[in-house]
Amino acid sequence: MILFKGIRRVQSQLRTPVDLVLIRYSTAATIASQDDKGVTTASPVSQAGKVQHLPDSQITWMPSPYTMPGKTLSQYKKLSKFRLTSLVVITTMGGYAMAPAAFDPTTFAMCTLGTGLVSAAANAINQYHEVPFDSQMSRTKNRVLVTGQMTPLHAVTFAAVSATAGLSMLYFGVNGLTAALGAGNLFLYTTIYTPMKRISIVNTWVGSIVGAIPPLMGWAGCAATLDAGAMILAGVLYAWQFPHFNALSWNLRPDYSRAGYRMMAVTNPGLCRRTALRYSVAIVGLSAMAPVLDVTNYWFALETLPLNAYFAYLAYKFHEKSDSGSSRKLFRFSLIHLPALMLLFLTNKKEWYFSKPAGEENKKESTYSAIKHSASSLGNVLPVAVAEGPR
Amino acid sequence: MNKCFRCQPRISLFQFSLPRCYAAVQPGCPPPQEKPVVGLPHKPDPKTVKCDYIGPPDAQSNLRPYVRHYGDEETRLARSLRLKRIEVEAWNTDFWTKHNKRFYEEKEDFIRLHKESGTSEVSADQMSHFYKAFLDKNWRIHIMYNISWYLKNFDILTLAAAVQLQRLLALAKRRS
Repeated sequence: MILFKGIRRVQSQLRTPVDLVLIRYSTAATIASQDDKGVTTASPVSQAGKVQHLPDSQITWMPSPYTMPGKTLSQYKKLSKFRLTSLVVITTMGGYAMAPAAFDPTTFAMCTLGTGLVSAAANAINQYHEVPFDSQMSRTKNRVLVTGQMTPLHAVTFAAVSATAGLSMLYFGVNGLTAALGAGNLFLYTTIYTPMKRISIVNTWVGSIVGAIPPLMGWAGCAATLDAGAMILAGVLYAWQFPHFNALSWNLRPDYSRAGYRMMAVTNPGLCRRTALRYSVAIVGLSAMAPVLDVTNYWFALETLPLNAYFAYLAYKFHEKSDSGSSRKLFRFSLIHLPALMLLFLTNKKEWYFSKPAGEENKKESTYSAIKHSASSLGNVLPVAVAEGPR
Repeated sequence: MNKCFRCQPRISLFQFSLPRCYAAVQPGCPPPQEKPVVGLPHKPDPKTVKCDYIGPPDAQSNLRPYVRHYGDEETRLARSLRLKRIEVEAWNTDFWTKHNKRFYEEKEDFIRLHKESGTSEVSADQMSHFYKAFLDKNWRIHIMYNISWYLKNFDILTLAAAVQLQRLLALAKRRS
């Protein structure tokens, strides 16, 4: 079974961790065809050593649903697109950390976990909807629902439980705004983005909004409001989606076309190249604006310049000569660029708010917040406990 | 709860008593034959197997065929679910077989036309003209298919939920 053996064998030949991600996306057809040519891999004893699978040369009918012993968690991870969910959770944590309010470990944990669960639910529903389309594309034909390892009912139940748990965590453990953003994002992804993938190329813009909301959720989880600083972070993530996805989809044009997905890379390659370049330049601009809006200090603009400039350079190369090489380079770098940028955001944060009174002291710097917090400033003078907080 | 318990290979205690190195076949020491074999080489008969089976992807439609098992104790709901699933799978296979056949034929025609007009190799950029044209031509068909598939999938989901509920209630009744 290609599913059980092929990925393992390829993983042993990997050189860089980034290749691991690419394996998910690259055509597994070549690996699959090597498997089917009757080459029996070692003995029929499986990895777990507990069950025996027939050699790959014998085409097998597997029971459905079926979980290999010890692989239950791994199946749920595949269903929830664990790596993607992890990236989403990292951006949420970044949003939380960047917000100008006190860091509360409980709320932080609730926000992170809640976002992760909501994202897992969204991905599970997406996989439930797209079974016949995923079967057509090499990148996705080994998904759990496509290979029958899980029933659709199981997947949807998982999604329902995960979404309920996640949204409850966000509503009761964080605040209403974060929960609303989470629910909105879930709705946007499952009900608008997923069907739109087959209707119009506008789906990429909708999908970018879906990617930009998690840092907003983190920010709202910490500060309970969304201000211009939050929009910088969301804007960076929105802009990042374009070079990332356009580079990814470039090599998969035949597959996307046959499966019926309407992506820029297929219907309008010129637009695909231009948006990748345009938005990578926008990231440079947004990073420069971050210090102006008090999100980071001015060193940030200097530090991110080489990172963003190289990203824009790769996007320019992709624009000039769009082939599998340049698109792969751009995609791979985008996977490094985002975590690096998040790290730079964190290390250059304007000021850290460790306790609420300190935070309110700093807020009094500006006249606007002085007027806003005039009530609490009295509380800071008199030895009286103030019940007011950012929440 | 959806797993077919009888088809799950059970871990024999024998596994835990041997150290790992014995997993390789030793000469003169035949390997323990207690590991249950999972998977069948040929398409099984629905009446003889104890759970559903899924096969390798079909060459034309790329969808994996299912064998939906049933026994004499199948309830009315379970039967309607099984028939509905078989019907939807057949409809899906039919659609994608025709669709993929159209795609490859039109791709062949496009490449042939290009080669006749002079250029030897059709570049990726030129192929993307074909991909766009194919998508545009099939836009309405894809939307119709999408709506139908979502509705059918939801039907199957609700039926499956009902069947599962029925099974759980039967189990509860048997226990009490």
